[in-house]
Amino acid sequence: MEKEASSPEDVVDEQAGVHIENDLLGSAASILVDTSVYAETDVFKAAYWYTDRYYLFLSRNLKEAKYIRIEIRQKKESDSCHLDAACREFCNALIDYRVRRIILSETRDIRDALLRKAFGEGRNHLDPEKLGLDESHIPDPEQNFLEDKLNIGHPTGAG
Amino acid sequence: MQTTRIIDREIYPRKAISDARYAFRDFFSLTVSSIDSDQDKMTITVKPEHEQQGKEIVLEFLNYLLDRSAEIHLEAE
Repeated sequence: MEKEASSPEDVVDEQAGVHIENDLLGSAASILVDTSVYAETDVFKAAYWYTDRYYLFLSRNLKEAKYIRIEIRQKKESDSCHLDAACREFCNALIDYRVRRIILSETRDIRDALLRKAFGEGRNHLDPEKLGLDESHIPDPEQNFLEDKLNIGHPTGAG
Repeated sequence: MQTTRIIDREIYPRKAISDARYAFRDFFSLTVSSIDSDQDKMTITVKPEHEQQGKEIVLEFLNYLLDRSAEIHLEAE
């Protein structure tokens, strides 16, 4: 990513993979995400979730294209500790989305089978010949619950 | 206020840029020029009447652009 007037003095801090610097738009923390570990869809899902609370910008690392640089800024100006924490939270979110993707992949056949069964039973009722209609028990307007034609009030079983 | 970003076309599709540009058309002018087969140079020039909120406008635009790009990518998945 190209930034205006970037210089070594603009770098505020760098610890354990989190790079913090100041530029025209304020303070920003950035991390590099290896797309051979986290799929790009994992990155987009995490980023999409995070734009609610932070400002984000993604760029491709020019030296190694498999890395995506994630730039994170607070929506309210704050110190570098908060930015550092935001980056680490983002890394946790990446792990979450990767795990979800793995689980979705492993359980795809089971989910498909359940859906087929659920919707498959509905097909039995598309044939009008198979649709039954019994309106004999629909109460008349003059009826009341005391008549209990279906004997619903009769106690059964336990008790 | 003017700011420039180099954007990767795989991350930010042209469709997302077009949509975001339209959404923010009242706040700034945007020019996009091609650098190579993978990258564009995007220059945002905030309109004078919005200069005071320029920083916020640019950052909100970049978030909108990212959201739109994520939607396009995830729809294609």
